Amino acid sequence: MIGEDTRELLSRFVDDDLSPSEAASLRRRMQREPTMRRELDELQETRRAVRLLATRDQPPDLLDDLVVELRRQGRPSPRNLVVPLLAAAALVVMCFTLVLEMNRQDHPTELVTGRAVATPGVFALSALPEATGDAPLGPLEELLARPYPPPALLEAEPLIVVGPLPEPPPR
Amino acid sequence: MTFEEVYRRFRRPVWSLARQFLGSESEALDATQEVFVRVWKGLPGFRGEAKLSTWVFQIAWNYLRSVRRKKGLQMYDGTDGAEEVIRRIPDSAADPERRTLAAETLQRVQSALQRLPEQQRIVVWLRDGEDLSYEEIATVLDVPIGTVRSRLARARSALRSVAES
Repeated sequence: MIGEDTRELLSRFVDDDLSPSEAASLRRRMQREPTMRRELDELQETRRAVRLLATRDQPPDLLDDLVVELRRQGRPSPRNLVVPLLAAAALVVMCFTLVLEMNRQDHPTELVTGRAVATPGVFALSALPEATGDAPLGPLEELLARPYPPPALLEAEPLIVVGPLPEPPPR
Repeated sequence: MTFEEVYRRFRRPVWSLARQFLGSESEALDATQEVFVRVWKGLPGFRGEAKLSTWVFQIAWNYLRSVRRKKGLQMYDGTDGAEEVIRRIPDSAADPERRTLAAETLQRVQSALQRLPEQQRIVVWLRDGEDLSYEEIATVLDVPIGTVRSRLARARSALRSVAES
């Protein structure tokens, strides 16, 4: 009767996983015990059977359609990211250059929706300022802050349209 | 390595693994496709820290195991598949293995495989079927190498005893 430990040794022996001394010791035992030799032969035969079962089962051609489909879509490789990254970098450089250029040419220090910060030459976008005394409004903001419709328009008499005017009498 | 090269190299192993662990051809086909979609998505990020075969088998096994879990499969009953595998073996007189291994032995080994516990079957399949090393199997299954050795010995012993009965 072969024990579990010996079975594991035989299993490792067929995979060449034993140390040289372990393998030599097992070989000597196999010479003395024919059952072990027989068990090793059977082990190798079932091993070949598993190999044969695995390698002879070929996939259907239908599977190849997948590759065609993936090729059509294009693989998302890192190389494909180079162009978008370069474009994004170019955009950032352009924006930065534009801001610098605007500042250099003494453009108004107030942006449409921004306000100048204390450091000259640096712009920072901020939320629309409220109409308070400490934050002067720009022309557009002032226009937007006005009530609509204007009170004068609300107080005006409504126009009554009665139809087309009569023709003036001939002279 | 391009996706097509990976596909060509692992087309048969992934398919065989799916056939072995899912049984039906249609399920195996769906699973193999899904595995290769995952390989396709993951390949740009594959940096070669592990061997390519380990990486692909890891993807395949994780996916197949999740499918089996969803389906409540612990052990495949083996009523279909075995005959199909035997039928697919070409009846070629030039094949020496064909002469030495009787079809009945293959049939018995296949049935015995399907009756093994999942964790033993995958070990013997990866080692004897796909020739992965103990280290690679340990990585694919995320278990210590000693576990691989003991599971493999038990699985081979069970297969041998069934195949020879």
